[in-house]
Amino acid sequence: MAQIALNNVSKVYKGGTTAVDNLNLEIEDGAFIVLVGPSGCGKTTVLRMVAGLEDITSGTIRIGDRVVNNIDPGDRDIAMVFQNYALYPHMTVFDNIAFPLQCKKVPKAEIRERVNRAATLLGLSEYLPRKPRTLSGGQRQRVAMGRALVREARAFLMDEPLSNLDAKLRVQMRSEISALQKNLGVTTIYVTHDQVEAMTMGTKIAVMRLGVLQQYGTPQEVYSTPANIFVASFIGSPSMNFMKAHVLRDGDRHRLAIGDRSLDIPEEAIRKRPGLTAYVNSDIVFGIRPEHLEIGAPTDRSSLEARVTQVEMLGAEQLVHVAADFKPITVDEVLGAVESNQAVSEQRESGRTGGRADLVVCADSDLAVSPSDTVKLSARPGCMHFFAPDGGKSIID
Amino acid sequence: MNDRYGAKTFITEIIVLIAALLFCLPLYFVVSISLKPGDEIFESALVFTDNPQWENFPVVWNAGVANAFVSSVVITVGSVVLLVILGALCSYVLARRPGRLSNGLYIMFVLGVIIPFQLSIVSIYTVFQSVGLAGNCLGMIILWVGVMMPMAILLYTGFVRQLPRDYEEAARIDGAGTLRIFARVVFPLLRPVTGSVAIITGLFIWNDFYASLIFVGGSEAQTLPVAIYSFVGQYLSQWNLVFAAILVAILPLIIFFILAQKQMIRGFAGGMKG
Ligand SMILES: Nc1ncnc2c1ncn2[C@@H]1O[C@H](COP(=O)(O)OP(=O)(O)OP(=O)(O)O)[C@@H](O)[C@H]1O
Ligand SMILES: [Mg+2]
Repeated sequence: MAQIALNNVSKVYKGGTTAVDNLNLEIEDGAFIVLVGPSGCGKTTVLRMVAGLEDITSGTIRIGDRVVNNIDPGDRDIAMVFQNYALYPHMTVFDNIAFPLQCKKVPKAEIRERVNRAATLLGLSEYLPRKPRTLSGGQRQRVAMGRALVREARAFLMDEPLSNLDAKLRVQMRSEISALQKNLGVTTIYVTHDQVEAMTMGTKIAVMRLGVLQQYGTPQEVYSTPANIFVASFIGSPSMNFMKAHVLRDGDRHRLAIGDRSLDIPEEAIRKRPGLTAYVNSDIVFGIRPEHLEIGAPTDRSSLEARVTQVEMLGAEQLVHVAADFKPITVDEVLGAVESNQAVSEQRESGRTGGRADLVVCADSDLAVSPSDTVKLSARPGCMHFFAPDGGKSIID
Repeated sequence: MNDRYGAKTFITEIIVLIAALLFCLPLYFVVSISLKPGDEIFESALVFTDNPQWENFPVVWNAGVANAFVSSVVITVGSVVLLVILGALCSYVLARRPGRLSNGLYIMFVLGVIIPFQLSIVSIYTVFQSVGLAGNCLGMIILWVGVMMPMAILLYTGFVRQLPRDYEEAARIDGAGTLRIFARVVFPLLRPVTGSVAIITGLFIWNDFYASLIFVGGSEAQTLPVAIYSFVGQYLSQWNLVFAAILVAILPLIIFFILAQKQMIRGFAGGMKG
């Protein structure tokens, strides 16, 4: 068990791709951190550098108090679970789990005991004599976990270990892995592109984009105080709504003009984000999560007006898609078109249609709305997000 | 009845059956002639004798076939084992170490497949003669390992290149050294292609006449094809004995094919299911 530290780590591949750019990450002993980001943002590269499967172009990686840049993967004393599990197909489950111990020349009797213990823990005992080919996806996943945990390694690295499982199994394994990690207390880096996994499993989340770390914090921090518009749009499902807004001031009250409507900015929000006052009389990007928009406005003065286009019933709640008559804005535009990243634009593809903005509202399922109704929307105070129009940094101070 | 069994399937089956019979015919001739008594050998090979001479086999076996059989087995098994071990090791390195050196070496091996080894046989023979490798099994094994290595490398390298690296990476993280990774992880995964290499090279070596005649002809280490050839001169009119010797030479192959057919088909199909 050990803490892991990455200092100014960069990786440039042979072809010239910068996969990781000056990454700094401190992982405390026993923490479960989740590396999350869209496809191609360099998550796997980070993991492989920590594992020692990929050279580090610059910077240092420390495991415990040892710089491991030039240490062989086998001597780093870490265990890794691969996306496709990489179980040795010609070995039985027993041999698969025993392999790391055999490499360490552990006595046979002890190997048997430790493999059996791991198998019992993971509910694999009856499958030990089988070949991986004859197991289901979930069972294979457990074997891969077993191979990682018999070693009693100092750290676990997992690269999208659940992405090959069906939705139900994924939910089950998600909690199993979390529980296991808590029990063992082994420092873990977990890679995923699924933000739900990130939110539910991690003690801390590191959000990456195009090789650059965007934010590193607890799930709560990343959700409620995103560092920038990218993190805001990536974390949370459905994704945050964004609109162009103009900050106005009447006396000591502030308002957001959006299209021809306006929303009050509560005193408290201004106090928390003093930086906002610098934007009076200029444009910003206003962000609000679907679950923080409410249908049926308390005051006529502080609300948006929109027409319902579609209602998706999810059971406990419903997603109400609405169209409003103001200028839409996409995350890409804010981040700068040059840097536009496919995954991000896919995510926001619905954000732009002519002169109207599409928003999503998450409402109680007993609220009666139907397409082509006109509704008033208000924002829950304290849940408003403000971003700089150029670059999309959160406006804080 | 299954209604997918129609006229088309029936005709296909008939054609395949006829082809199979045609392929079996020479084998039938060999068996038929090898069992004939001496005075029937010039009657049609199609007619099976009423008076099978089983003692033809002990006769040829004791007349030098036994010795040749042992040489053939030693040379073939020895060469194939070395080809598999050295070929797999060498290909693993060639396929996994990118760079100009491995590429150049690989091209040399490929050239070795294209260029007929017969071109260099005189010089090889001269060298073998002077170092005492001509006329014995060890020399033959060394010759075959050299001659067939390009084929082994070609097959193995192609296969290793398609092998996902994940297994090796997992093994490296698990703490295995290069040799252990090769022996415990890579080599077992190469099994299908190992089968192909063993069959292709083994068949060639077992059946070879040309090089064997030059290198071990007339010596203690002469192989079955050479021994049978010398029979033809020796028992000029006794074709039944010649054919009995031929049957002894091909019987191990037939038994091997029957036992290993499933493996072989899988090997040639080249697929690997993990
Ligand atoms: N071996 C390599 N050689 C060159 N470029 C590479 C190599 N591996 C990855 N890359 C590039 O580095 C970038 C980061 O890749 P990486 O695999 O780390 O992404 P990822 O975040 O794991 O994506 P995903 O979620 O799709 O797995 C990508 O642009 C990719 O094309
Ligand atoms: Mg990846």
